[in-house]
Amino acid sequence: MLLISKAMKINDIFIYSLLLVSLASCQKDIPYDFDAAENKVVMNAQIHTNEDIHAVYLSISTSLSIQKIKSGSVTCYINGNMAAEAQLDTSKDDDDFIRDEALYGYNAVGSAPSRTRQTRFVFKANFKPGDKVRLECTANGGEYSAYSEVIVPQPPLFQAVDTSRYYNSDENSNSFNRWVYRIRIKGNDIAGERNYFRLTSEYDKTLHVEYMDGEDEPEDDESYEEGPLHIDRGKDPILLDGATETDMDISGASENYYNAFSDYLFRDGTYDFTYQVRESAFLSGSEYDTASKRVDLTARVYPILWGITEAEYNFLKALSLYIYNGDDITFTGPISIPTNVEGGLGVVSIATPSRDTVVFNRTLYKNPNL
Amino acid sequence: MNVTNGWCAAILIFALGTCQSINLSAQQFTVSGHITDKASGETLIGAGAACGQTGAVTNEYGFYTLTLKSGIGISITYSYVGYDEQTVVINLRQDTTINVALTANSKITEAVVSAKKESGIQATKMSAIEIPINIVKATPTLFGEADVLKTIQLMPGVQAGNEGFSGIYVRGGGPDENLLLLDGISMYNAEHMLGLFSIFQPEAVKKVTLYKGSFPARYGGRISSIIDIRTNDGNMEETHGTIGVGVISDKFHLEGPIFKGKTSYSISARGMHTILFDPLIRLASKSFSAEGGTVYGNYFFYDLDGKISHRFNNSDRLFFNTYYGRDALLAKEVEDDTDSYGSSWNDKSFIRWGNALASLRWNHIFNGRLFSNASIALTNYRMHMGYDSKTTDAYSDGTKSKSNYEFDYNSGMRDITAMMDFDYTPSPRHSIKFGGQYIYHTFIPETYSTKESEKANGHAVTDTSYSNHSESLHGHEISAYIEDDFTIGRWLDLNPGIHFAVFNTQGKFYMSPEPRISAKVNFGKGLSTKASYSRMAQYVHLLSSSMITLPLDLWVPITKEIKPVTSNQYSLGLYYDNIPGWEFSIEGYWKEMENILEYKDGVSFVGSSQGWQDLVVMGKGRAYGVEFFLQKTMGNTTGWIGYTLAKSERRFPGGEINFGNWFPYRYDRRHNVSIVVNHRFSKRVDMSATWVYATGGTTTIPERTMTVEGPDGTIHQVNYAPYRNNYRLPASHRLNVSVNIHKQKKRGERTWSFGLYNAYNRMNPNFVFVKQDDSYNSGETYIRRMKLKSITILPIIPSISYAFNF
Repeated sequence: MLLISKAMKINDIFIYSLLLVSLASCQKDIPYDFDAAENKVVMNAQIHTNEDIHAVYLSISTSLSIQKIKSGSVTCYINGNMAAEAQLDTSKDDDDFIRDEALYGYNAVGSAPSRTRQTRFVFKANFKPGDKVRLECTANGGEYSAYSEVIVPQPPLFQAVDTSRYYNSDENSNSFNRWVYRIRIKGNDIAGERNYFRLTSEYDKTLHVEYMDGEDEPEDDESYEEGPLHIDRGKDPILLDGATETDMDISGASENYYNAFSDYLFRDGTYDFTYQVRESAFLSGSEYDTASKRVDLTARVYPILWGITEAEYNFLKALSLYIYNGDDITFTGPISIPTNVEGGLGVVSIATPSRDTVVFNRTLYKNPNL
Repeated sequence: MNVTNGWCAAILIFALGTCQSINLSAQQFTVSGHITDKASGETLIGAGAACGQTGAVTNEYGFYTLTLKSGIGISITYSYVGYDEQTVVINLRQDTTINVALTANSKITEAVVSAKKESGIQATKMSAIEIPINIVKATPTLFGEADVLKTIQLMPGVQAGNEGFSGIYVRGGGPDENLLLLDGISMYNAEHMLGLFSIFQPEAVKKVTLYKGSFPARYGGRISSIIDIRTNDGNMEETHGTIGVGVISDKFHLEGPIFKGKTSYSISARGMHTILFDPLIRLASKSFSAEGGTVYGNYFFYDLDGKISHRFNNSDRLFFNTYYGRDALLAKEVEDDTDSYGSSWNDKSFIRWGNALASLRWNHIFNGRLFSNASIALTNYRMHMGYDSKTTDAYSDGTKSKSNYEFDYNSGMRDITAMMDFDYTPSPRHSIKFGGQYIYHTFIPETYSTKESEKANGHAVTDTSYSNHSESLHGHEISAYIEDDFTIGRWLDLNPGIHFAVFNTQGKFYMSPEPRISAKVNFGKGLSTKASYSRMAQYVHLLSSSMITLPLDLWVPITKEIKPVTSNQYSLGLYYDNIPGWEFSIEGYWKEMENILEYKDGVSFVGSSQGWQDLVVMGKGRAYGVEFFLQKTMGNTTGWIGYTLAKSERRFPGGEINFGNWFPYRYDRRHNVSIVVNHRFSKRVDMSATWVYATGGTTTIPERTMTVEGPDGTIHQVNYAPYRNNYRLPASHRLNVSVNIHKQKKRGERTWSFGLYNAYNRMNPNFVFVKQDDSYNSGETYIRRMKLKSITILPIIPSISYAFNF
């Protein structure tokens, strides 16, 4: 008996149909030889203009392997002037460089740099929107050299205009996990040019607990916490960037792991979209006990909209498809990741953020006996 | 003068009179009419009418016109392949209508007289092949399903895309660059089962003509080929039909008179077995599921063709034809676990896609020299996908919820067409065609909507709906054409013409003059040479990210930024047919293409056309090659050998793909061989065999591994392919055989067909992909081994089918 998951989805139907065909099919290896590919230096950098310290990763790409460089250098130029010589980072502490949104775990399919033969260089520089930034690298004593040029994007102009808390259906969750916040964003696009964006979200919360009067209890307590938030795009067409809704999507285009989108769907130069975050992301349900007198929550959710370059937009869309499809490229062919490093490989991008704040104040618990 | 001399003189005069008119005056008159099949009344397309060196052939509607000098005892011979010749002797003193009914014979004999034809070795035009429908029916194919498009793939210059699928790639062009016409009306996505079968039922088809170059001026809108399929009008005299049962489908065909000699009908239907057994499948799904539950799934396709033909008089005929076809993938799951887990659900989903066509055609003969055809038609391609889920949950905290989720997705394409065509024969040396067409295109990009609602303990907690606000796009395509097929002297035939088109979409006008010219030089003794030039333009594109035809592939119009694709094709050929029953040709071609599209790196179009023009790049293409074709058309053994040596490349000067260099097109296959043999052992037994060989096309294989950094700071190891189509696949070849055993029964003829697809079980790759074999760390190096894997889904496949013709 074929076991089918509770919610039969169209992409499952396609996959099962193709699997049935595959069952009757024959797979075999075709001998091929790709050893002729020339080695190239790989330079990767994801620069955020709201940070001072920036990391650049170098490695060597061959036909079948990723190799660590023996030596290297990275130089940053801003508007034609040398801005910084990157230093080799000998700390080998990846945690300092992996951003909070990766620690959440939902989107983090990649690996820590130290495990993937990357050599990290760090430099300090400040970037302004419109700056022309050039990163040049060399590796293995000048055997390899490459560069990438990027224009720093403008920060998006937006506001969080509406927020509501409601009880949402979730087939895999209990009733506690069903409370979500819906945050509506409105903004103005820059006219006359094609612009690209990425959405992230963070939170911080303060819990104020008033205890019952008693000798052993403190009068009250306050705790603070902050972290990244997973974004639920729902069916919003702008956040889906025009792809079909997730349940019916067989290509993975709607997965859009990095919530990257363009202004193609904007109307009249404005944009208006909504995303959701789960309250369970910052509440566990065990913040209080019935001995408390009162528990108040102040939560701040920060929608962060990044202005990104066209190159980063194309890269994030391709990477999202790559993560979704993995090795399953039988019917679509390999996903080709676009690179923007001349003389080498890799992706160098710069993103400029804007953020807003949405504050929620709620009494989580009030002792009914008082 | 003695008696002998007198007899000689009389005999001489009589001999001259058998095929030459005796000029009583210099006046010319036309002889015109329809040539039909005597048994069915079906018009015969391309049948010949000739008197001496003057000849004509019937057009697509079976009409011919012949201009002769007046005289007495003028002998006109009518002929057609597979039919007995008929000679009519008349005294020509005025314009005359002669309708001729030819009798079919079982011998495959060549038509004795072949005059100015539209296709084939005798025509002025080159690169045009008429594919007899009996060849289509006899050619062994997958599951024994005779297939028009699969037979076309056996012609030189035509390639299949993926092995076993119906894609047509003509002279280096793409699958969306072929104009598929059903009785003159354009069809979209003409495939079933993701491309394994085409939508055309051979029982309904009368004639198939493939134009690979030297395109007649009346055709436009695609740059690589024209596939003109004409359907049966229906038997005007008697009722006949066919019932067939095959491995995967059943078919039914019925035609006959409504009013004998005046009105006829033709109906054809085909469907997968699973459509007939659907009620049983639904019943079984309930029986084998848990109590109260259902797990159901089914896939099927079907085609319905219908036509009504009415002959008002010798001058006016009216035709109404329709087509409706669908693929459907259905699934349903119902489960009630309320007692165990406190939940139940009812999920239904479906995908349906297919074509619908309706057209009305009026043939009118103004006089012996002027014939017209007026048509209006509606074509509709639609893909509809839906999902409906109802769930009820009961939780330990006492909450009871009911949720409902609905999703609906539509995309498609609709054309409303009006056209007028004229055939004008002012003199024996000129055959002029002219006319015009208007097509109102409606492109329906993906529109989708979702509705979500939930109630908890009877109270509504959510009730939301989304839609993507997508609007239809419209395009107006207006075209006019004129061409003249005329003879200069005894050795030169010329066919110059022009097709002029205007396409308007989203406020932008594109105009495209498309000159066409063909020339034929007859050296005599069956030897001739031809040359041609054609310019074509295309205003629509098919967005597809997959290697196979998916129902989610989308047709989109050009835009203000995306220009029409154009091609210039030059061809030269040498032909020889002096040996009765044999034809030989060798053709060379050079095709240049502008504004062809290719997708940028990392793009997926599956199911979404949003912003598509930002995701493609425009570039150039070129294709060139030589095609050899040796064909035997008469006798108990017929068939052909075709060989193509060809190359097809692309280049995107902006550097977005392959750094702006020329690179091979995905279906660039250097050598293609097809051998087709049909042998008739007796009236009862005939067999067919096809053998095809093709060197490998190209595919994109990641040639290295590299790392990229995500915006969250994590590193991803990815396979990287800097060049598209960087790997050439191994050659593929396949042998198909079939045997047909006929037996005459009281009420008709029954035929058992036994076939073997891929008879020696060659594991040709249908899909090729790269898979990681293993990976490991070696000191400072991370090593990832990859393997190139192929999937074969079409190994040796036997088939058996039964047909009864009555």
